[in-house]
Amino acid sequence: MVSEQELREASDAQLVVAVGRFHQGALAEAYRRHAGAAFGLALRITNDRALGEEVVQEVFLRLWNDPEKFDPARGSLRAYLLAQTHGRSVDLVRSESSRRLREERGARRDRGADYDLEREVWNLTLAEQLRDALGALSDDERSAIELAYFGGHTYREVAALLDQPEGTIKSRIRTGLGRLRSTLVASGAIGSGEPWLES
Amino acid sequence: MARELTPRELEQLLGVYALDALDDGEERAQVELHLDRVPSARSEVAELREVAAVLASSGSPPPPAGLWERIEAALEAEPPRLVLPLAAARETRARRGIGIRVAAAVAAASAVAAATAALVITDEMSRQEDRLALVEAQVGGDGTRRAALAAMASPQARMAHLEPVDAGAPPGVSATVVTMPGGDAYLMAEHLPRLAPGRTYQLWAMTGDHGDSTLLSTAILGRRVDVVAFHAPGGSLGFLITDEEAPGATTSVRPRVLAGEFA
Repeated sequence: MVSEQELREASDAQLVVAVGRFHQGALAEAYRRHAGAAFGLALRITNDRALGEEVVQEVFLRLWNDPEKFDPARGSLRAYLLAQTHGRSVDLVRSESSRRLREERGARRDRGADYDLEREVWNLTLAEQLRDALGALSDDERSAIELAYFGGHTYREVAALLDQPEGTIKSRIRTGLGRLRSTLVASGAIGSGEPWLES
Repeated sequence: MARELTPRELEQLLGVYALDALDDGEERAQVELHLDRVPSARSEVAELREVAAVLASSGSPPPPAGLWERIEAALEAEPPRLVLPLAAARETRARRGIGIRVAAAVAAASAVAAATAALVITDEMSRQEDRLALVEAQVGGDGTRRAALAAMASPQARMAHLEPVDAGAPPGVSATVVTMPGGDAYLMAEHLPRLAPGRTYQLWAMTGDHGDSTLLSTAILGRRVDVVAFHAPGGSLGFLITDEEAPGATTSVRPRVLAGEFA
């Protein structure tokens, strides 16, 4: 049996191999590393703790049942789990999206244009690197990414919310994410290893 | 919108695709087709998802209390192991269908159910081995080799060298098994030829007394073997590898390829 110490030191890929061997401790360790981020994301999208918990449970059960779906050649375990979390959360909220869209439009009008990622950022070095990276984006790019990713909206909805052409939103999201990536790679936040792992 | 998008338009959609911000429709289907065909597009989506993961990782709250316990309970409630859906279904059908026929028929039916159960267990085992092989092929690779080498360097490790049983084997064919006290074990094969489709290597542990040993199936190795992690049964004396028909045998009647005992 593998010790807790060994699990703590195992790479994410090794954890997934152990999950493939039905090692519950390995799943628990993957949960310890990534469930907080998954829950935070699900909560921001669904705005509902019960739904958020349901999504996280589903995502980790899926990792347990189909670990081979994770392909390390296509990114980190965290990015994989968060993509699953995002997809599932969005599925849940889009079924009622037209109602939400109306509400959101009203809310944005009420609070003005301060829909701001930066306010949400408070964590350690990663947060600092992210804050710097976000500083490199225009407000328009930030709003578009924020509404699409954390708001769970489609780009057409984002275009309607921001009253911009759809083509503009598509390219803002792509160029904005691309610029974020360059800055994050330059600051070492991504590109080599997984900086968010607690040691 | 049934119009076919140009490659440039498809590329423009990669950012919104990475954020799940496409409708589930024609556009999404076209982007996915594009991703299947164009590796650089796949890398871009993977890279942008890493960026999204960083966005989501900043300032995440701790997961809610009790959530892990609920997940764990769900694992226990439906463990992904040795389920017998087919056998159970047959048994139910047998019970429901011909309840009024003679006792002999009932006996026959339960014999069928038992045979089916055995078959399903074997199927299920091979499904699990497949899952394992898949995960390890994809994720394991170097990690497993590193772990195997680390185990080899451990003073607690026991090693068995497996040599060809047949003198006519190709030169250089051999394997090493390393086991650790808890049963974690690794097989490292050298130059084992790739098998034809429909065949698989299978690893067996020799247990019991030297004069009278029993073979326990330990792992289905697939057609090509490099480094494999497995669990060695307690009391193993040595190991051997056979060449079986896929998905492997419960009792081997096939000639042995490699065999060796602990040094």
